[in-house]
Amino acid sequence: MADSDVLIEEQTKTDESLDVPWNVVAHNDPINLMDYVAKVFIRVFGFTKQKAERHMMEVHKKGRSIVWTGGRERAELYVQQLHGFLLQATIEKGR
Amino acid sequence: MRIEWSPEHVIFSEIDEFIADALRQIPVCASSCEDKAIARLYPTPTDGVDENADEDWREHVVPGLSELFQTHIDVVLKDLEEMREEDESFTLSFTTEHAPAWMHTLNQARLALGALHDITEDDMEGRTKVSDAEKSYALFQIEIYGFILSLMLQHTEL
Repeated sequence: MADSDVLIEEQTKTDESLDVPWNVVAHNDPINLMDYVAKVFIRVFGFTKQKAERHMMEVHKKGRSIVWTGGRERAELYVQQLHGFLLQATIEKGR
Repeated sequence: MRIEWSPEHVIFSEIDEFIADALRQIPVCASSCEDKAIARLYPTPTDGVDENADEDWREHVVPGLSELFQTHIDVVLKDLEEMREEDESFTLSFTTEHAPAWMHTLNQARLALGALHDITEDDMEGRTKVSDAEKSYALFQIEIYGFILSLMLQHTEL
């Protein structure tokens, strides 16, 4: 196989991983105040108070909530912001 | 303890020695270097699913977060140094511009304590009997810091 073929294959793999939608998942913890979590969602995602509280309650009751879906780079940026506010958040591949 | 909130200042007055000591512990707890605290304060983006991504995160993102958190802690430390004693009680006053740093550091201290003492939802809800003195004091700290944080959230934005 020529070097150029390898390069093309690797490039395709990279592009596929970027194309897949990624979820930003907020996780429950027993310490963070519910009001605080909702305010962080408003600050980071620009959610309305109602939407922020809906996600906060989902985190509280189900242990996790998908708070955003989109490209990986932006998902990582959101996770970084959530970590900056000390929320537990991860990224995962969407379906 | 009395807490007054004006557009310019937050004033904690009539603080007894016990609460004053708990307040002085805020930056100490927030700065914990114990593994459990570090793991909670600096989680990774994939929680081990993608080890390379997590390692990159530790290398490139965590130092910036650590620096940011330290700037908040430094603000709180400086304000606490100004806490003064008068008539057998203490008074602490700081500008409302410092409120975001206080909220962050209070939360950081709560989370570090929670991780260090394996605090659970049941512990927080009072559904467990805690006989360990250190854990009991940690729960008290989490409560009092949470009370102050909750009050600040009512008056200001993050």
